[in-house]
Amino acid sequence: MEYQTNYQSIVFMGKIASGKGTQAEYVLKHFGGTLYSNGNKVRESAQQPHAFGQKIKDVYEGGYLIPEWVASYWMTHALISEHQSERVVFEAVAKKPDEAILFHEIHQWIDRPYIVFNLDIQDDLVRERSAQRARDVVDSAKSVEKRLEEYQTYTTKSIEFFRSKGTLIDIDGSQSPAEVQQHIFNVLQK
Amino acid sequence: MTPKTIIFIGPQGSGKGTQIEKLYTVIAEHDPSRRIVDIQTGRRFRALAAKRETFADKKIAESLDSGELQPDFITHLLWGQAMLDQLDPKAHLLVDGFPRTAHQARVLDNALAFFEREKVVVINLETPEPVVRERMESRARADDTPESIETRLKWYREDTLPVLDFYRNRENTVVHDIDGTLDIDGVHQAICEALNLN
Repeated sequence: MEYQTNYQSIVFMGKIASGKGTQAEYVLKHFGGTLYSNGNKVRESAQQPHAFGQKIKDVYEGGYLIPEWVASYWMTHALISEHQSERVVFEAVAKKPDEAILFHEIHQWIDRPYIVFNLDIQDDLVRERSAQRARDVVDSAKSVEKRLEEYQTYTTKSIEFFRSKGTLIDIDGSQSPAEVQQHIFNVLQK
Repeated sequence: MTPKTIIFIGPQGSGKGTQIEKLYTVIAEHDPSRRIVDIQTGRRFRALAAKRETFADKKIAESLDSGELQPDFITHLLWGQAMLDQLDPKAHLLVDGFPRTAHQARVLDNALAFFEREKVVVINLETPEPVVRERMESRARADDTPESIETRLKWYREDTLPVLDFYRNRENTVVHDIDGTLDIDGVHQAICEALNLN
């Protein structure tokens, strides 16, 4: 790989359209590792012959949240078993404070260094970027407002938790993707 | 028989493992067409500790030797794996080794709802501490040192008893208090009577 970092888990947090996916891709491309996402886990499970796979697929496709016991099981399994010796880049994990605490506890227990990047942007920029890209249904005005509200209710608490542990780096997400990338890469290579 | 979810609660040395084995046989005879999923986290912990392959395995072995409670997420990893691989709404489910804290009980409830298993039966093997100590001394398993026995008894008192309260207050739940001081067949008989499996 082109660049080296000591961080085995790299997390991107931020509002919708803050550039998490783009930056996760840059990091994977230049530092290596696996992208972790619940969507991927659902697709993998659906391929399995057990009853669970079909059920979780129905839940996900029905637009419901992945049950908490499944989300925390998947995260634990990824860190302790599946990807224990490789880098994992997390896009949209620990959105709720309980998950953030669990995420931190697991890393402490297995002595695995992690870092969280908070891509900070104003709500107006979220609205503007979502309207421009109109990627899918979640970019609709109504969905954007709902997600901003959820972000305010839950995710800001997760961010505060990581900040209190000294594992969070705030990044001005209103900068250009290249500027954001530069900032992230500088931190990762320290 | 409708699909049963049976959770065993009792201190170390209360005979949970033995009783689950005997109950398994009885259920299999009564309801041969239905699968029985038997999840015992203690047994799974000991298997991982014996392997000592990964860093996590070694940490689990250390906690086991000292009698400390494993972190919630490791317990969750073990039963989560078993449920993903084996469970469906139609099977019978026998559970031992968790939930050990009220938090674990709530997470387990989340999983039981997912598998459409709202009705729960709890078998509470009431076994006083002097009886437990005496049995533990004669069992001599590798992780049974005097210190680890006392540590496990302490967390049982502090953490597991709130779990019983959780189930006593849960809807669609029956808690059967069984005298764990009886001999193996006596306890087995009492469990079968409680579950109407005679």
